[in-house]
Amino acid sequence: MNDQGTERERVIEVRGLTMRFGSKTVHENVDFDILRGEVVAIVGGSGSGKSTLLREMTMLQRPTAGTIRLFGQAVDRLDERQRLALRRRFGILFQNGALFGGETVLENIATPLLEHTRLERTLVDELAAIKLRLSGLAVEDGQLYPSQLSGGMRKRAALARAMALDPELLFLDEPTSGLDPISADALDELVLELKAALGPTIVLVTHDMDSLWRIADRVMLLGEGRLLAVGTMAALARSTDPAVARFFNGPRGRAAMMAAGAS
Amino acid sequence: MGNSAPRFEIHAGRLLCKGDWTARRLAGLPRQLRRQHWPGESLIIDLGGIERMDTSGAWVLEKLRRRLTAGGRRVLIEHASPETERLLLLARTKGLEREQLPPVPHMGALESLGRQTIASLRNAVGLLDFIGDAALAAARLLLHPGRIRWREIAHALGEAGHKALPIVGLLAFLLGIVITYQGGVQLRLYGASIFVADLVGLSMLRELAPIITAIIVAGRTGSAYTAQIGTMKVTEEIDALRSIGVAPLELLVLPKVAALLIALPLLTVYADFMGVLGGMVMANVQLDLSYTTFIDRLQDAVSVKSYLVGVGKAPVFAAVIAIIGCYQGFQVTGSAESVGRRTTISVVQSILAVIVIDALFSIAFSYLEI
Repeated sequence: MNDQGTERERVIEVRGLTMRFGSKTVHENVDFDILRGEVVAIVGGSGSGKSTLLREMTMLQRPTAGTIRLFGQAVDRLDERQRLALRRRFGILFQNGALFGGETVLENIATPLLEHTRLERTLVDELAAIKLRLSGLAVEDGQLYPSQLSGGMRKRAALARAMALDPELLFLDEPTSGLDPISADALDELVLELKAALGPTIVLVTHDMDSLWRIADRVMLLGEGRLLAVGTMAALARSTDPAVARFFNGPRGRAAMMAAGAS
Repeated sequence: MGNSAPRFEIHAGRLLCKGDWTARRLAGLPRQLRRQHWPGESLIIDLGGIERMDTSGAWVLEKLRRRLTAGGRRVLIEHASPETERLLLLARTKGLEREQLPPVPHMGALESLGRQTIASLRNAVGLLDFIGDAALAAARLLLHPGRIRWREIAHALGEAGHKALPIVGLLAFLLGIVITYQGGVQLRLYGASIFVADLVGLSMLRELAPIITAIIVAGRTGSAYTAQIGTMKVTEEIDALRSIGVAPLELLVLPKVAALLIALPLLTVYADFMGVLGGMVMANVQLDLSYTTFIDRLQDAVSVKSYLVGVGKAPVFAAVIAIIGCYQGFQVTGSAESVGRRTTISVVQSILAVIVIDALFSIAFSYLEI
């Protein structure tokens, strides 16, 4: 159970995970581990169940069968209080930001701090401002409402909110989707900076080949209802398995590989 | 994982920090640190006893460091782990004191009054504008009757009319019972029980049935119109309609107005019937007035004119409710909260408008001696 010494702690442990909606099986018997400090990307075609897997790991959806352990605790055996305690230890960046529309950006970032700590208001505002600046926004942007932000700024603000409590584990759902290439690169850069500054384990779902090369330590390819392949991006790109090669060696995959090789 | 409360000790110019300096546990510690008296020229902050630290702990220490350095003291940090070092660097480079943050925009009473006045005027002008647009669109549609959206009208008619029957019927029936009960007690004292038919008939048909129906419809249907159009605006469906060449007014507004113009008078007639029925039942139970006697008296007391006066108000109420509901829907901007706020405004405004218009009708009718 507890990994001592040389072996790193398993932050997420998934065993025999199966998800069915009616007669449709999304995935069956999926096993994997995610270790502390890793950046793991989950990829796969549309409808391969990436987002479902993310929702299961974040306790937003119950799997049909199998177990998920977060920080060593099996999530289906926890009561509501323990689940809340566990939720405080991870942050989620939702695909469209999911910022609260009635609050300013700074209030959005302050919300988790106000809910879960007994810090003074001044300190909360200052801490929210640190996260705001860490995510590359100016302090003045904190006064804006989410509807006044551009797509890239919204993602940054949402990332700042996800990081508000310094979570040990960060889930990113399509962090670069809907962004122009320059903003997408900048967001990848930001994820790396956050990682360097605060050191969370990061699990991301993405379509973006460039992100995979730049930020992922390991990549998990989902398809046909199971894990098709797990490995570093370089290893997967060389894979001869036709299903894996089809995914990573298309024109976009090649272009991203060239870019990663060149830089 | 560390699990001890954050704390500090001071020994000979050294500040020893211990435990978990994390957001969840800090609570009162920052205040303690602020109140602490710091003797001497220099301070060594010893972080050897720290079990865990996050941004908040680092920021609290950084604030202390800034305060002491500003007071001319030398501050040294010792025994910080690499992670803590990283967090301290983050706090040092990104941290700003509350006073350095842009002030939370605060509005004075006068400014807020001014803004509200202007907003109300804009709202009134906008509403007029919207009524004009809708009227023009309706006129265009009448010139090209082939473009009238019969399916949408039928759908809206079902939603606003047919589905409102149970609630309107129930409320009107209960209202009839209440009026008869309250009035009957008084009338019996004078031996004038029979006049309860006048009371129920006239008050229901002229005033109460139209107004209670309009209020229910404003709450049920006006709000639905605002929420539907508002949500479509948030999800850019309105823009999508425009881009494929469908005028939102023609598809979303006019069928709703038309449907309500038909539904509300019919609902009012139904409420008339149910209200009088409620009165009749109550008169029978409480005053021993037989149904035939009641109906005989009703025919003498209530003229066709009273009935028409009541039903005649309904189309006006319908137009007001539908127009306000749709207009507020188009005023939604950006967020889910805006949909909620506009829906509330829509219901409040249309109920207010219905009651004010009813009062104006009463004045006009008494002036015209109807």
